[in-house]
Amino acid sequence: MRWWGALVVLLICYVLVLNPLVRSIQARPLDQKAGVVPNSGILKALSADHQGTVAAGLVLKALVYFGGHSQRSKRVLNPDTDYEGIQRLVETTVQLDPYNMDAYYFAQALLTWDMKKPEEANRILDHGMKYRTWDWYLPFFAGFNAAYFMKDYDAAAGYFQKAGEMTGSPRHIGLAGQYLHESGRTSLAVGYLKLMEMKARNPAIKKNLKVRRILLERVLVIEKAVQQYQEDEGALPQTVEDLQREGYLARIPRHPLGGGFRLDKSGNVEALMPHRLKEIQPEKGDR
Amino acid sequence: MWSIYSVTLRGIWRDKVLQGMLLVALGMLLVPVISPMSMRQVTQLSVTLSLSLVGFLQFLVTVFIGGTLLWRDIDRRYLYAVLGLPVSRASYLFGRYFGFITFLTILTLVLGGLAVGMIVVVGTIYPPAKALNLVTLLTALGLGALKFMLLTAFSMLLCSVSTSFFLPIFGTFACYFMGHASQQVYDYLTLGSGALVPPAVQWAAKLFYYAVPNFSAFDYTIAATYGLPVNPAEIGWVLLYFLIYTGILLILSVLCFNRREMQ
Repeated sequence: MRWWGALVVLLICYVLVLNPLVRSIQARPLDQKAGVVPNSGILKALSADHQGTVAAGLVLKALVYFGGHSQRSKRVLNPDTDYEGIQRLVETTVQLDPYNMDAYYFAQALLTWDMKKPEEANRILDHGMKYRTWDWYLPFFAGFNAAYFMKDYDAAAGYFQKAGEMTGSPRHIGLAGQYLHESGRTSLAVGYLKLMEMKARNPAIKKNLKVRRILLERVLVIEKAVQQYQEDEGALPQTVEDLQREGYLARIPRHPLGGGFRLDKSGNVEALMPHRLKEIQPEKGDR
Repeated sequence: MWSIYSVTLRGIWRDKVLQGMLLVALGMLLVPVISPMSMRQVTQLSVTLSLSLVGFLQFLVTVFIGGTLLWRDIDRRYLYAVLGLPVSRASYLFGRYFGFITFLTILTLVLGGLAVGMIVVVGTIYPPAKALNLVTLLTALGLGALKFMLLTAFSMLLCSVSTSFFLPIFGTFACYFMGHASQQVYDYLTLGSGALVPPAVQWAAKLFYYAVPNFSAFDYTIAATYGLPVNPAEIGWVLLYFLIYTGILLILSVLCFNRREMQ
């Protein structure tokens, strides 16, 4: 009987301890790092015929880390995120399982906008194209990176051509010529981000893409006003405020993260990031 | 209980388990050779490798010795002779358990000392950008040992309900892997991606998380690798969790063992 009594007491203690324990584990600073991952060759040998499972586990780890980090920090773009660690996880994943689309998608979402490494993103996507020969997303992503980030229009045209051949869609084939003028870059980026956002299933990635898309939609509004101003006045406006004063903008769009917009000498719109990143600043008409 | 305790310790010593483990642990001497293969984090790699090797040896000992403590006694019919003496079943069980965890503590001290020595050697040759945190390193080693003590208690419970060799061995294996995966599953459900999972699966996963031992709570490898400070309050909760969970498992083992027919 005394054993049963002791068991009941311990079970009550267990229930009482669980909540603070779980909270303390989730508040750990361990996620300052995405963790270390062994060399992909060693991991390949160790995983035997479970390479796909190990790869899926690594990508899941990266997703949990990124999602948890974004959520805990309450910020959309977190400079403390261990992006290098995430990159290591993704690169190891595609070595173990070169068909793992989650890894390519993750690489495309983070290596370009957040890490400013479009060349590395394209290197990973090129690796994927050797295996996922039916998947037009990979050349489409790579084409976008080449055009938008690297301004390598020849390479972009090649990638879009490849995507077009896979889908048979003239839209992709024509993308390179259609959008890659200076004025069309933002439209291309908005279209691309809409597609990425629509396909994203992980909430943290989705939110990240949404911020980018909203930011570029607002840039696009200003760009169109600049274009109209130039056509009417025969000169470039000096500031964004000029556009509002002259009636080309009903009001100056708000930067979604609390920063601002300005025009450079060529009339290009620059989005200024705030010193301290905040939650999305909503605006009427946002979806 | 003390006689069973000392018999357990002497038995493990007689089987030359410590010597065998030390022989394998000589692999740790390779740590200063392998670590410089890392381009940017030589000392960090030495910490990861050393802690992994210590953990691996503790795991082997826990599964193949801790997991078969009762089974061997039953198989050799040694248990029937012992229970014929004025020794209660609970005393027998506790004697076995505490004898084994004393051995595990000695093993951890020896292997941990060797690991810290190797890490200090590598850290002196290749000073890391962020200094090593010895407190975190020792915490990681200590909590690692507690994790295997809890796992041993789980295997005792399995031994107390089954005569088979397979249930304690494979059950302990399964518990080890599930206990490590449960936190990742819980984090996946609660931090960000939970909305994609049906509520029934979420509920089942959370129940599973609370029921199986949470070994992630004891895992300070990354903190030790990167020299991050440890939060004493957090360690306090983990210790409390260890005491309560181990207590529950041992009491359940006693209850099952007391009810068991011994023929």
